[in-house]
Amino acid sequence: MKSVLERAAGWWFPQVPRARVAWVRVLIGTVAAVDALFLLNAPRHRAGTPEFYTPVALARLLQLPAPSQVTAYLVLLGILLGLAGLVLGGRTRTPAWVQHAGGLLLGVSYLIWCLWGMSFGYVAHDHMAIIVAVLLLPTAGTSRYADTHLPSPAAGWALRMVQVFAVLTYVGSVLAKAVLNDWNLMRWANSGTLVWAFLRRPNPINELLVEQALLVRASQWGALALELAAPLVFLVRERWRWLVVLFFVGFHLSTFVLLGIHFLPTVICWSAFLPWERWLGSGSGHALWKRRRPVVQVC
Amino acid sequence: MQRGALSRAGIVVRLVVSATLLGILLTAQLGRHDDWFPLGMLGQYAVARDPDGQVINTYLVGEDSHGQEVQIPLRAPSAGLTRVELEVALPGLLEDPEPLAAVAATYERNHPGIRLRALEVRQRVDTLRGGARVGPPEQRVVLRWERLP
Repeated sequence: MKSVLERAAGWWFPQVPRARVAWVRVLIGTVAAVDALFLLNAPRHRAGTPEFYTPVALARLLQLPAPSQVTAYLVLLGILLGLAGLVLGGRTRTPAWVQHAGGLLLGVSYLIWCLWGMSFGYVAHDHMAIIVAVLLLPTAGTSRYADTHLPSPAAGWALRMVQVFAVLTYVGSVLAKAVLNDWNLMRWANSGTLVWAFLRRPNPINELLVEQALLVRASQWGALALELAAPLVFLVRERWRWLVVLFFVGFHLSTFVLLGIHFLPTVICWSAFLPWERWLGSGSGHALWKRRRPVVQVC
Repeated sequence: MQRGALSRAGIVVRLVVSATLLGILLTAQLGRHDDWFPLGMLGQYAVARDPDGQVINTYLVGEDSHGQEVQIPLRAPSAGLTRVELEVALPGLLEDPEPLAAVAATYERNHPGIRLRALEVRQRVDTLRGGARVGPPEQRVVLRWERLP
């Protein structure tokens, strides 16, 4: 019988095919690039207003200066080149250094980009898991799309960290609510926070809700329950996890419709829960359209 | 199938990294460290708003060289800062509105042909009762910045 310590170690360092890392880092890197280009695109546009630069703690520690047009475009280029390295590096014929350099470049560039993005007075909390992902996924080592039968605890740990911090985005926000409201979560659930948010981000749909106090309050209780329930995903068997992921994607779709908040950097980190190597195969063809080969059960 | 393995050092380093990141995140929540990005306080929409209070929407209006009002969208690509950032900076701007000159310059650069001679920070105030909006909003001017001649 396994000891508790061995079980804990097995959970923290699961054997996961390296191919999964190869796919997940491309998915996450793609969202990082989309984020830098179209969503958190502010660093490019803030070169003219350095007066408002108030660097966050890590930016101060790194003595990161305010972005200029030149540095912003260089860092953006780093993100795109890093992503290209990861996409190409997943192929078996590409030298391993391409994906290692790509992962490092993407991780450092995206971190700097987001530090800039959060250093003008407002810090969003939807980037925690994706920053952990871009910095830690390269520690999985050389990972190819074809490594579907090559399980590794290094790959397992990196993906586990992404999973844990994706889930902690929700659980941690419950803790933050408790701390900010004198440990009284009921006060938050019964408050006017959601209607406050609707009125600050008005749109034709939430305009229908701002005078429906009971419905809005019920939604707050629902959101709190959902955030607390996020860790239950770890109890769901891998083959059914896509349902949980779909459920949370649906939740974020509803907040997007109601508030215009997409939370995409967190949403993509749910991809770390899914067996992409089974769905996408080795990258040499389209597994979804091919007859499935038997695969190894891991994790 | 050969299962991979980690060296003892590899395991220790990963456990230390795990514990450090989790420790920073927990400390940030308990210590309310909003600026410990990326592991800072997860405090978006976490403050309970008074269901019988007011909702304040801050916005920016410019005045062009013909005296016409120009709505300045508070987005980085347009004005170089966002609404929340303006709200965070507001106490300082009330003391010294001069940083708004950079906002005016950024807006003019992004909108050729427009010359702003003044900016006004205004607020729309909605009133809540029992967690629902009641009545029409109130409008108020918070501060005015004028370009020196």
